[in-house]
Amino acid sequence: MLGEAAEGWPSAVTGAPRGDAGATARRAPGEILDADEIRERMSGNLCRCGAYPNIVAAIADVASAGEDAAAGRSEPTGEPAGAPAGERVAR
Amino acid sequence: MRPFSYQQATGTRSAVDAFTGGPPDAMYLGGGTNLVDLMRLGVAEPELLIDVTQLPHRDIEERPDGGARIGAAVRNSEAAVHPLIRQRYPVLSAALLAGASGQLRNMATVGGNLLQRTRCGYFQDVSKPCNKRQPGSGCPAREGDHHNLAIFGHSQTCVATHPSDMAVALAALDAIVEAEGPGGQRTIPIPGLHRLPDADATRDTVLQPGELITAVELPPLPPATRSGYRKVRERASFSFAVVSVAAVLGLDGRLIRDCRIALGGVAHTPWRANRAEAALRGAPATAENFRAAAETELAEAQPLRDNGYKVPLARDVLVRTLIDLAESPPGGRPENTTAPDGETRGGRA
Repeated sequence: MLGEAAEGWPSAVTGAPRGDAGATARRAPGEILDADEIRERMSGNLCRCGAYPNIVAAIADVASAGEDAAAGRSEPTGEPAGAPAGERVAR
Repeated sequence: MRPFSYQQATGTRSAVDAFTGGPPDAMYLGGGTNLVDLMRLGVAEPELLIDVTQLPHRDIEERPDGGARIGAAVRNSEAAVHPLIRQRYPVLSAALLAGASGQLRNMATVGGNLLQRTRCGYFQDVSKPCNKRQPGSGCPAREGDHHNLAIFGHSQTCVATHPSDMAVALAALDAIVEAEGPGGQRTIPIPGLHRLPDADATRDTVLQPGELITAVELPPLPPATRSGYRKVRERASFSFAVVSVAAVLGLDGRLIRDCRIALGGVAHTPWRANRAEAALRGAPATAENFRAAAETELAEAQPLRDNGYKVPLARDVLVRTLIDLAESPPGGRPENTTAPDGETRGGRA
């Protein structure tokens, strides 16, 4: 799912996030993945009951870790820095 | 579940021959996202499945006239993200992305999507009567649970709706199906592929036994034509349309040069809004005209006891879709426009 987002595949929530429908340039998934986008892309993937907010938070965490790594910043630690990831992505 | 045999077809002709030479209830199998469910439920009981996913119908090609041709075995996800579809037919990309979930779109084929069966609860429950499943047994939906069923074109026999999002976009695009059958090849315009139930609800389409969809042709859209898809459902994702609208709009200054509208979730077919289209062609693209045209179309609706809410809903979604398209840059809105929370009803996810 993060790979598809990084490839610029559209979803029903954001469509073409960068406008250029033919774009194939890779970009960091954290750039475009807010909570609504994560929910849409995970829809149908996993049971959406009690664990759902934590799934969204975990995906946002992995996505932003990938973004940091791509930008040559710190290695992903598995621990969100500062506010929990779920709060960072909440609208 | 009834035992069945399975064959993987290696060529279009041999697939049709396998059907012709097979048992009377042979069926073609695409991604299986609907047929396999129906087999588990006992609704479909084919003795032979002919898998057509490996046939050479897996490409999306640009046509010399600027149109496109999508092979019937192309997966929904692949069609949705293909640059040619996203750039030239945003309504189709958006409709595909509004359907099902990522996993299902990865399996479902374009041909199979067109031929999926209604999700009417009575059709899917073999303990209940259903004229579509068992002709002459009756239609409990007419007096029973029909809150999500048809408001146009239904009959005493059947009030089911066609569930596809993709087919709604294809109907607005005047797409054409290529089919190969025992009698050879033919083409069928998509607005004429699906049929109203009338007295025989068993047949969803005009395809004859053994006819196999091999491709969908998309006629070119004139430059600067806008197109978009808007879907309303009972929860934000992974749900069939309560009402959806696919629209293609070509403007000449402020005047409407081309206008094609199809409604989903309201009939046994994708419902072309012919009356609204006729009212809008040549008229100025104003909210008042859009509203009057939508009223004209919806005046023909025949809601059932519990689905009258679809009439104002379809009207308003139609008006909003046209306003958005008229205000959008030419080329259309690639994104689905489902998003606003205020448009979702209930929400039981």
